[in-house]
Amino acid sequence: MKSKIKIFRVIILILHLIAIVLISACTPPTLSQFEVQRPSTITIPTELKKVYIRADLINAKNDKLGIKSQLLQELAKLLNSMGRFKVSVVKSLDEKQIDAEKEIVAVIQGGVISGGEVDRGQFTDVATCTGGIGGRISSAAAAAMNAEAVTLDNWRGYVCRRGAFTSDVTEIAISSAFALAGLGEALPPKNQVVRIYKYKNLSLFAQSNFSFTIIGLERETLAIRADSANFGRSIIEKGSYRNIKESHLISLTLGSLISSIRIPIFPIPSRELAIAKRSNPEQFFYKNKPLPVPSIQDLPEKEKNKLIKQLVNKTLSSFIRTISPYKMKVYAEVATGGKVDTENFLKEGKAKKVRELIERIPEGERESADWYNLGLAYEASAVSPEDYEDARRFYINALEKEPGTKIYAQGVGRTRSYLAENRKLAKQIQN
Amino acid sequence: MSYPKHFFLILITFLLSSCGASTLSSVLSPAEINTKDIRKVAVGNFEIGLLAIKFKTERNGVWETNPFKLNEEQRKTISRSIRSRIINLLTSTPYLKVVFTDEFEKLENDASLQQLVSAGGYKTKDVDAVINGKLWLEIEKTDGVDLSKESLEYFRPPRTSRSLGLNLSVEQVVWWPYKSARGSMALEIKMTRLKPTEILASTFETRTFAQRIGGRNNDSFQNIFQGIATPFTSSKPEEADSIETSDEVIPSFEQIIADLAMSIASNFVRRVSITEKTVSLPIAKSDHPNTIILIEAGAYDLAIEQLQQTTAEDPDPNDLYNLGLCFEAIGDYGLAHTTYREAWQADSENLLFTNGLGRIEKLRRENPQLKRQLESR
Repeated sequence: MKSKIKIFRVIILILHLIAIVLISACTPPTLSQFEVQRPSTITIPTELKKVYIRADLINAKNDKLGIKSQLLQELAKLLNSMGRFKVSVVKSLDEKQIDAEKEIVAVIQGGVISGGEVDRGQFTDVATCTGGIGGRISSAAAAAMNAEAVTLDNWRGYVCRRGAFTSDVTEIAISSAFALAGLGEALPPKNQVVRIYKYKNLSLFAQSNFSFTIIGLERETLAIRADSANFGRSIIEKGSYRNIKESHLISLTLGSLISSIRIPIFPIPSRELAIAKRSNPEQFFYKNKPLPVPSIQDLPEKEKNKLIKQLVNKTLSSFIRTISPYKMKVYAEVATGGKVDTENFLKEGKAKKVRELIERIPEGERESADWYNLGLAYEASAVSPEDYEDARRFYINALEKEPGTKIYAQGVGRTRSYLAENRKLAKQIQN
Repeated sequence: MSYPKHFFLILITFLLSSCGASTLSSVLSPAEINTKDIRKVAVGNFEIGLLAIKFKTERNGVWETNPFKLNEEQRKTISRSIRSRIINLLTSTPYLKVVFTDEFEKLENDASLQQLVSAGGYKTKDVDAVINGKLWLEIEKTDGVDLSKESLEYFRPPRTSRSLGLNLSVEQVVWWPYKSARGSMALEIKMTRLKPTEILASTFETRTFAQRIGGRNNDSFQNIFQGIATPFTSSKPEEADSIETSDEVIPSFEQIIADLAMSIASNFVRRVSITEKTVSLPIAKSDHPNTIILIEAGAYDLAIEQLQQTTAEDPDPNDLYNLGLCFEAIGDYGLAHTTYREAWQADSENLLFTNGLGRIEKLRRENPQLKRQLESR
């Protein structure tokens, strides 16, 4: 027994050390966030400036969430923000009024499909309850740290939780700490229970089908896309957990039969005792009609609107990237150290300030982190290919000073891809 | 009891996370069949052969099935959705130009299309071929209950060094409610050339989908790994547009249909069009870590510069392989082949080098066909 406890303590110590190493290695770095412009998949003729989104030609018969109007407005807003086209949503368009000799325009049409479901039900699990002072505290703490649902057994208030790898490790660590401090038992009493709980799964779905047609001397469809996005959330109603069968209660009932250690009881003499009857749900959760769409009771209006906005943006992004040069957010790690502390400036997006600060340092005195952060400042505030060339040069300087640094190499890789795309992008955004 | 297992898992996680580096590269593959004369395609109707969507329930061994009736508009939406996914894929590379016309879409089925095409009665000009298809779809969602015998444990430690503890297990019959979704789709897709009339490509493929939530909870290896990984997730910030999803939520019918259709359509599109795919290329271990991180970061030009210097002084096969990999990534297949070959000649037992050589030989074999297809545009 003693040797087992010793082994157990050594294991715990090693687990602690591993956890410390991992946590310290995973401290989040400071990130600089900036935007870069990337070319569209197809190159649209440069003389095309005006785009009309025709609401009358957008089919919304299966738009159960009623997102058509929001989706069209958002499409217009996003395309306008890219600066390539002047986009407006129109109720209809008399194409005869367009003088194809003078200008060409484009029309976006298609369809919107959306929907959602609330799926309710009951599930079963088996939980392990821990007794003793140390056992109860460590089990409750492990459950709290890992967001597990806790129930108390009806006998002595043992703390019951389902258990998972991380929470089990947490419980072992805490209970061993208690045991080492003499505040708890090395092996606390355990009792397994069958529990039931209720859940509610919410899902939302949105799909946009759009085509992009040029109306000029000839009518030509340049792009057609269908893109969808979905949201899913599983909500376990923590207050709905109920212990419906506890092993200790059965053991008490059978107490007279138990006289020594490790006695398996097969079979249980009473049929009623051997059945966790309440784990069988009475209710049917699927009926002969579609599941309801999430209401305000299921998703607060503010959150639902936010989610719908996310779905809308996601369904639109591929279509936008197909027809228009677009801006993309880049998160790049800021180097620590160097002659000047520019970490906060880069984090706050003050790239020009960083350039000023680092460029004051004579080139020969700059450290690798200075070169890298200077490259990052040039990349973040780039307005021409030359800026990317400079950034690339500075990243290479950093890498030469400190070979083997991953973030410096990543800088070189990023600037390479911008420069490779530059010719296509320049063609798309000229004039 | 389970501690050695946990240690073993931690060890595996570390080993997996320290596995070899790789870089992502984009590769163009030629169309599998000769479609160089086909430039403009129209996409016709996707006829519905079978569409069965149902809810099933089971309690105490009694099954009930409730079919979910779809109206005409919903059926059309499913057909259009599949059609759009195929167009997505066809237009992802500038090889085939999709002509937007509803003339062929209006036709009810393949027989009407074949009749129209052979009689030459279509009005749309400048279309070389029409793609159409037929689908059979069955999806069911189930609300059922599993039944199992479970051993519940009860453990009481000895109260004194002389007394006995108690460790027993009692068997229980437990109901485990579950929900599941199962879908299968069969899709026939055809490409018909208009002049001269000929079916150029035809595929019939099936895909299935299955997901289950609830039921008897088994701690799978996946769950354990997820448990380990969760507290130490990447420091990369979540993208603003990333939308919450959960493996515990059964997707909607629309989502299942979209996923199944996409999978079949991608196989068909590979047959008839040039496609672009992203492949992961493994990097060889090297005494020059700088070159590895440069390749990982996609800084191939600088990596080539450094590797050329390194291999000129010391032609280490690992560095030669990595040099070949950089050439492969920038599309210089000739130089990639030469350098892979040098690496392989220095160490012909190395699987990595053999794979590199095999990969590049395949690309070089495909290259003339790809070139012809690209030049035909």
